Amino acid sequence: MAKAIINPFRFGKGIGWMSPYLVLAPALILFLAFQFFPSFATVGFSFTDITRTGYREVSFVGLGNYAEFFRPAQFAEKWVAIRNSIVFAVAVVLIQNALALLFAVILNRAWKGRAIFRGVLFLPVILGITVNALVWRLMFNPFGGIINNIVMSLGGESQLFFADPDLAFSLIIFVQVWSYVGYSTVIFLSGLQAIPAPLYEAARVDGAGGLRQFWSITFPMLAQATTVNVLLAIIGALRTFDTIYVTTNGQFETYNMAFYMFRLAFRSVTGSGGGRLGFASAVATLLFLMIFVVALVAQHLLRKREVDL
Amino acid sequence: MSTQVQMAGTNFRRERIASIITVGLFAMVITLLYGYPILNLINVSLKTSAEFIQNPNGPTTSFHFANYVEVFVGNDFVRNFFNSIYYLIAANALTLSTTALAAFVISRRYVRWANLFYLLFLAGIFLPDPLIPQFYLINALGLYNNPIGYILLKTNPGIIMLLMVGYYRTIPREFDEAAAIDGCGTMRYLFTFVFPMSVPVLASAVILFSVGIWNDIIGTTVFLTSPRYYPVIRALFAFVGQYGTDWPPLAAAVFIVALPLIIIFLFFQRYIISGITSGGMKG
Repeated sequence: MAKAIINPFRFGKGIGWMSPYLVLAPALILFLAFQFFPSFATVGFSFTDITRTGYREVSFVGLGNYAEFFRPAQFAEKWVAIRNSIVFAVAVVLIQNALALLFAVILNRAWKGRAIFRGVLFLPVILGITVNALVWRLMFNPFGGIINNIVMSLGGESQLFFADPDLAFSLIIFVQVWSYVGYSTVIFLSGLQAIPAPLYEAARVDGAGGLRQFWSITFPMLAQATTVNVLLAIIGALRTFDTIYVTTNGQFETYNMAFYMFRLAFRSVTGSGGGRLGFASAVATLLFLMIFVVALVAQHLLRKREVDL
Repeated sequence: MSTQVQMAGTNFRRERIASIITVGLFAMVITLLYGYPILNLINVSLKTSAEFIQNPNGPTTSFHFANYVEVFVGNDFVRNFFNSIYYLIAANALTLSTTALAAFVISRRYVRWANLFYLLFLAGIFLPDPLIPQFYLINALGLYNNPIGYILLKTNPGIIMLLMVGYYRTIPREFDEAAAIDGCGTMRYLFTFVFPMSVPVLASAVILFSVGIWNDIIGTTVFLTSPRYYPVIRALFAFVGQYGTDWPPLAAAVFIVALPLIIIFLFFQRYIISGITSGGMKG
């Protein structure tokens, strides 16, 4: 495994055996310098009291930042970040994948216009979160927006939506799922297209109905697509920052770990200690541990399902 | 026997009707939840502000294209727009050219520890956020508040590596050998054969990467502090602050920001979707 396969080009002109390494080098060097080592340095930074305004001398504080994070007296605001990250990830992963599976099954049938609907469903992935969020801020406009009008015509009270502490977080989840469900759908669709048609024919001969076919053939055969989708959604959801930034800017306790980290590091909020890069690095490291554990458990469960088939 | 056939027939008919209803419902829901909000934005962008207050949801009667002019007048929107285009092209060129090359030798295992390198690149997707050390790194290199520094930091193979390695594996190795026997060098082989064959996956890599660059708020906020380097997405944010609830000019700005990516998508839609599926699943 570790050994290189004999490169057929090595007998060619030029630098011979070295050439595949030269082909690899640019990407590797850029990646190591600007992504990989900074990622690890984050963990290192988390053991220091480094600040953005570098007047003070930096000193090693051991696990001090972590101890501070979990200090019971000020844990309330950190707990909001942790809770929101978890609730957001669970809700997004479940809703997004359930909807994507349903959409993919429908789009997999032969009907006119399905290519157009597939494109429309994918469009928000292209538009990007900022545009998507503004599109929905207009829909949820509290001053005469269409959704508020519908709510009121159904006898409800006028709502503030993204400025309503009770609604804001659910609406962020909605915008996130709306934005990315198209991507998951496309991955499920490719999984569906890989299922051999004779399986369904055989099931039909055996008298299996539509639902039975779905649970006995479609769903198990999509195991690999499910793994890809669930893992991407977990990582994406836990790292989400921009959806919150554009809709509520973290107000009404809608901030998560990623947002909390950014606020600590790069926004000088009077009195709340903006620019504490050491402490923010500890938050980033804790978020990484969260992602790592959740992804590992999910991957283990999903792969087991793949093997069981 | 004949009753069985009949039953199968009615079952079949019932399934067809159910299928038509499902598809119809789906088409309706997608139109309402996806088509309508985007058309609504375009509609609002064509109203005068007074018309919007009076009648926020009806179709525009004034076709007030002046909103689109207003976006560009009296501010740096044009410069911001071209800044974004510059970041987009430069970051794409750097990331794609390096990743497309590296992915080839990794997928073919022409280097030792190919799988290790592969996992290393993929680890970038979930490793701790490098943002804070990047801030120091770019300061140390003297490239803080400099577009070149920003572009270097944005070079990240990640998911593109996954797509490309997956796709290259579908190109049989026999082609490599045939090319080598004919005396074709690695680079010439890549540029005349492998890359042209990889257009679908390259197209989807470009679009996914571009969406990230075009919408990058954190990176541009942290690493590019001079207003003259602001990308268009920050100009859009300035608009949100400036216009608040005066939606018509704001909606025009949103649509202008969205337009370049919509155009790329319309041109390459077929490639993009097939690229994501073929690469993502085999990777």
